Amino acid sequence: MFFDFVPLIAAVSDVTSATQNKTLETAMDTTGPIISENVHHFLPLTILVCLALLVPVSMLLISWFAGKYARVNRDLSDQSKEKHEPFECGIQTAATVGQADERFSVKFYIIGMLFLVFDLEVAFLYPFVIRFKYAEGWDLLWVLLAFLVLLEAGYLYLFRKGALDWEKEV
Amino acid sequence: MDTSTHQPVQQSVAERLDPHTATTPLGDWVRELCDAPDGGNLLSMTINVIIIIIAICAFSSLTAMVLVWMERKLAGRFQRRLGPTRTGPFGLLQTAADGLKLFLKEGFRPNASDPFTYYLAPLLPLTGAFMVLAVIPFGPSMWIADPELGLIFISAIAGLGVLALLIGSWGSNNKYSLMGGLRAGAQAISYEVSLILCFLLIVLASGETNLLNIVEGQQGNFWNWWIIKLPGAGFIAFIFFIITSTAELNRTPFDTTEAESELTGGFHTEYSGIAFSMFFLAEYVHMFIAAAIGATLFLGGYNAPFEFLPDGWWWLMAKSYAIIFLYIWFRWTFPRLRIDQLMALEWKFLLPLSLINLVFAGILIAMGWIL
Repeated sequence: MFFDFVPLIAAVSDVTSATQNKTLETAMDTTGPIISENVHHFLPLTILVCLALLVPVSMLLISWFAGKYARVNRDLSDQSKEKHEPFECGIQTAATVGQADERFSVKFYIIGMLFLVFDLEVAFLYPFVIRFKYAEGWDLLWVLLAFLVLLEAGYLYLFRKGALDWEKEV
Repeated sequence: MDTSTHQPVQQSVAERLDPHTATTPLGDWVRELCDAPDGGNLLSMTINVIIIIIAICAFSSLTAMVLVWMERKLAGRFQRRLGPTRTGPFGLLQTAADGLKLFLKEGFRPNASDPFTYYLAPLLPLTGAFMVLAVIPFGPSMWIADPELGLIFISAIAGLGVLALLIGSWGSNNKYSLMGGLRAGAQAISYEVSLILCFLLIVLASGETNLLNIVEGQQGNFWNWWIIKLPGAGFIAFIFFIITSTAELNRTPFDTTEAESELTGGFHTEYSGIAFSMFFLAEYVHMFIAAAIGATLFLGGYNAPFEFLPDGWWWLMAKSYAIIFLYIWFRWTFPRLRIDQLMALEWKFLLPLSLINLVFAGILIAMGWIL
């Protein structure tokens, strides 16, 4: 009862095939019809991606031409060194002005690693929660709790280690 | 456990009134033009889809411009001044005038920056914003696409915005930009976890990832909305949603990415003219989208608060604007958080409490304690 993962498998098949009421086997067999059914929903998205790329690109291009030819003040000849400097405080010291391709704090990498772990956790939770409503009573809640307890043990370890502290020296 | 007792998901998507084949005068005319009077063929469907896309995208761009006006007007009121008054009635045309001015600016790129990444970055946020708009149901038959995995689609596409900030900040080759971009990346990926946990709570309660099904599940009076229907858990999740979406939008009090007093504008320090205004426009479209998602998930979407009132897109607008007012109110009330406070708030407070709230909602549903 406690480790009955049949509802989980059913939930996974439900998510991946995006069809209703199919077992895992039949969902994996019917690749053809699913595609033709989903053309209905993904044709709009395909057109939308094209249009949504076209609109910003055309905005940039129109502005490029308008900025060049339609302005009252057409003097764009100022290409001086100062104009192309990085926008900073204006004081020419080595600490401020210059290339930005230097090393940065390792804290950002730690946040990235934490994100990977917890985002995967959340992604694994999706199949649970989609089927949760249709489960009987506490059946799926035990599975959810077992999963979360395992993960939160890791979370507590990170907390105690100080991985979640921004100011801690690493 | 017997898996056969699992009930099918409520209603098939194809059975619903589909805007791509719905019988509106314009749709009928297009279908007649394409020699497909019944049902429509691929050509007529494509044309109808393009009409809907243009309508909804133009509408949301206009909404973004209105939001800029609203933000300036409210900011004025919060600070006991008037805000824009001169251009048009109540200063309504101020945003259009600003946009026109920015259009006519010189397209400038610093020599030190990388051309490809510098010009790629302003394109992505608008693309991402329009793609998320596709799955939001504005009305019973007002949507562009209706995939079964709508919420997962949203959480996947929403990452595009922060990608653009990272690309743009890296490509401008400016230390302030780089710092702002890194902060934006760290902040967005941190808060995304608890944002998706808020989505998960709704999926848990409704058993759906399809946004239209989620809205249909909240029909009836206002106590059928998930914010009230799940006693306690729904309201907590809504508050967490407001906090995390404010952080995802990089708005005050979570705007360490822009932080004009320390980073001179953060990731868009080197951007000017139309490239800057595209970031700016996308920011406000994103704000509208976040509010519309919040209204869809927690406040019943396009459903009226009482049964005897007619449903429609105006309810979604009213709820979205209420949430947007909250965002603007936050911006002109709270001071900016430091980056360490920001990270502590997410990792030590919001994340564990969201998980506890999820389990709490699970117990509520398992015990059947739903209104």
